[in-house]
Amino acid sequence: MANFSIQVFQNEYLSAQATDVHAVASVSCTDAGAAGQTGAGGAAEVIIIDTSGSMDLPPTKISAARRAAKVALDEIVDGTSFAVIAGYNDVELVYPTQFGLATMDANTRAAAQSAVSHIRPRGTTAIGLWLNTTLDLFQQTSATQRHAILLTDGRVEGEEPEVLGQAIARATGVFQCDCRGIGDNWDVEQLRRISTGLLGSVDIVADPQDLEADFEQMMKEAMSRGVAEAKLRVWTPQGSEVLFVRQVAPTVQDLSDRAERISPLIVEYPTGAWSDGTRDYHIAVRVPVAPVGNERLAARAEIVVADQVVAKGLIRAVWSGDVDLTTRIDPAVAHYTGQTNLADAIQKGLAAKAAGDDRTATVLLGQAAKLAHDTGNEDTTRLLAKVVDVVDVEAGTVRLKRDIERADEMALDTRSTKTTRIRRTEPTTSTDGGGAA
Amino acid sequence: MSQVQCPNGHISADPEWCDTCGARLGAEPAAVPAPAAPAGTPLSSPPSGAPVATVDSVPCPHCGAVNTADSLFCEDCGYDFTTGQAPEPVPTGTVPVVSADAPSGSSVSSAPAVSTPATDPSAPAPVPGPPGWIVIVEVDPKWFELKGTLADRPLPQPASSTIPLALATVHIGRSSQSRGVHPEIAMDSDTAVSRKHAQLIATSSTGDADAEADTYAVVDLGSTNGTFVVKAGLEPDASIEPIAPGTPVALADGDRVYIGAWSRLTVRNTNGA
Repeated sequence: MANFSIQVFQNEYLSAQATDVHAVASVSCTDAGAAGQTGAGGAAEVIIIDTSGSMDLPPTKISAARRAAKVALDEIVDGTSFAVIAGYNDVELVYPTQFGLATMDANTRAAAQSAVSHIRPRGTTAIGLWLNTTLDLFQQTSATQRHAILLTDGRVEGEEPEVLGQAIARATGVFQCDCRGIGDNWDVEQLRRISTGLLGSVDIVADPQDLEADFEQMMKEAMSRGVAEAKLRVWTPQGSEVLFVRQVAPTVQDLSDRAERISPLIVEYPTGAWSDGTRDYHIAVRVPVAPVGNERLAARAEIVVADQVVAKGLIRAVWSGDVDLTTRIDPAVAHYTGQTNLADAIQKGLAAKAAGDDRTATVLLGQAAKLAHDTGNEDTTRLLAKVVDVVDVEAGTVRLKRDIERADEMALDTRSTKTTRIRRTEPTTSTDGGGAA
Repeated sequence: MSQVQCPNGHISADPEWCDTCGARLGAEPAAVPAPAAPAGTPLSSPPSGAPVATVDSVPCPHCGAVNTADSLFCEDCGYDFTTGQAPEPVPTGTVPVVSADAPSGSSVSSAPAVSTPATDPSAPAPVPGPPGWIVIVEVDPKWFELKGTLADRPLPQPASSTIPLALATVHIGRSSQSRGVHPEIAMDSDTAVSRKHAQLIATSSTGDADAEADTYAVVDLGSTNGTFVVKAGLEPDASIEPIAPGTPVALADGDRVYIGAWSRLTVRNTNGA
C-alpha cells in the first residue's frame, strides 16, 4: 500500500490589501511497491530505439543502444506487457514481430534480447511516427500503467514538423515517456516537448559508454512506480484565482496548462506514476482581500489516487497588521522561486547565444551563475562553468567561453530544470494521508 | 456527514473551513476582531430591539462593513457575498441604478425568468415592464404601530405619492449620492429601509417562464428589516413574517408591500385587469 503525505511550507501572513498566497506543497510517497503489482491494473513498457542512419556514425552509438536495450529488458518485471520497436523513417517491430505486446517471462526476454542484437541503422528520423506507433501498441493492452523509453540521436527530419506535435497531443494522458538524447546532434527543445507533454524525464547521454547504466537506472525507476497515476487536486475559494501550479522539485515543470477543471472551485493536475520519493509543488493563489484579523483557507492541495483523496495539505491566509509577520518570505518558497528563475535564465541565455545575441546571453547566464551560487545548486554551477567563465559570482558577472563543446551546452540546457531541494525547516502544516490504492 | 453553515451563509461539509469561501469555521474564531470597520455599523442598521438583533453579523470582505449573516450583498459597498465578486467602482451619480445593480437582479431572481436588463450586465438598455402598473407609496400609521421601534424619528405627516412602473426591474431603497444608489422608488426618510432593500420585477402571473410578463413580483434583496407582503383587502398584524430574501413573491392588483418603519407600497393595475 502506497502512503502519501503532504507538507505545506508557506508564510500565511498577508498584509492588509494583499491578495497573493504562495506556498510549497511537498508531496511524499512511500511503500509505492512495483509497477503493475498493486492490483490497480497491469503495467506495459515500450522501448523505442532510434535506428536512423546516423546511429552508425560512429557505430559505437548503435552498439551502445543494443546493449542498453538489453539491460532495460533485464529490468522489466515478469508479467509486464512489453514491446521493442526500432524507429527510422518507418518503424520496425523488433519484438514481438507481430503487431502487439508480449508478456515478459524468461523466454520472451531472451527472444527480445536476441532480436535487439540484430537491429541495424538506416533511413532518417521521424519521432512523431514512432510515438504514434507506440500509442497504437499501448491501445492493444488493458494495462493501465503505460510507459515508454525513447532513445534518439537526431532531430526530426523524416516527417512534416507538425506530426510530432500532433503525436504528443494524442499520446498525452495515454502513456508516459522518458527521453534520452545520445551524442550532440539532437534537439533539446524537441525532446523537452515530448518529456514535458508525456510526464517523463529528458537527459543527455553524451558518451555512448554511459547509456547502459542510464537505461538500467531509468527502467528500474519505471518498474518501481507502484502508483500508476496520481493527481494533484487544488481547491480554491470562491472569487479566487490559481496564479500557477508548478512542480519545482526534482525538476521545474509548469503544470498550469494541464489543469482539468473538476468543479468551479476545484482543478486537478495529472502528475503521472509515482515511485517512492518526494516532489515539491509551488502553488500560487490570488484570493479576495479580507480585513486584517481574518483567516481563510486559500487553497487545499490534495493527492488523488483512483478517485480517492489520499493526502491533503492546507494553504492558509491570515491578514495581519504585524509587519514582522507579513514581510517574511518562506525559505522554501524563496528557494524554489530562485531555482525556477535559474532554469529560466539558463534557457533564455542559451537561446540568446544560439541567436548570436552574446550581450543578452552574457547577462542572463551571469544571472544564472549568481542564482545557482545563491541557491546552492552545485550541479548547475559545474555545468555553467563549462559554458562561461565566472568573473564575479556575487555580482553575476561572467564571460562567454570560446569553443564550447556542444554537448556541454546541451547538458546545461537539458538539465537546467533540475533543482536542488532545500534543507528542511519546520513545516507550517503537516497532514498525513492514509493508504492508497 | 453533518453540515455546518459558514458566517457568509454557505453550507459546508468540512467543519473546519468553509467549502465555498474558505472561511474559518468551528470553535476557533478568527484571531482578532477586524478593526476595519471603525465607522461603526452601516447607516441602515436599525436601533436595538428589532428582530435582526439576534442575527449573526459578518464583515464584508471587501470594505469591512458589518452585514447580517444572510446578506446577499454588502449594504455598504455592494460586494456580492454569493459570488465573491467585488463591486464595480461607481462614478458618483452618473450611472443609472438599473445597470449599477445588474448583478443583483440576475443572482437573486430564481424567478420565473423575466428578460430584464439585469440578466446581462453588458447590455444595460432598460427593458420596459408590462403596461399599466403603478405603485402608490404612503405613510401608514398602522404599520408604524407594528414597526415603529425601528424608526429613528416620529411618524411623519401622512403623505402619498404615485409612481408609474415603467421598467421591468424597479428598485426600492434609499438614495445615496456617495454610493451611487438611486432607486426608482426612493424611501429616503424611512431609515429602516435598506439602501438596496427590494426590487419589483416584471413576471408572468401564470408562473410560466416563457409567458409574457403581465404583472410584477417583489424580491427582497437581503434587506436588514425585511419585506412584508399583504394580499389585497387584508391588513398586517403582529404575527406577519417577512418574505424570504432572494425569492420573488408575485403581486396582484391591490396587493401591498410593507417595508421600513412606516412605508406601505400598494401596486395597482390601471388597465383594470
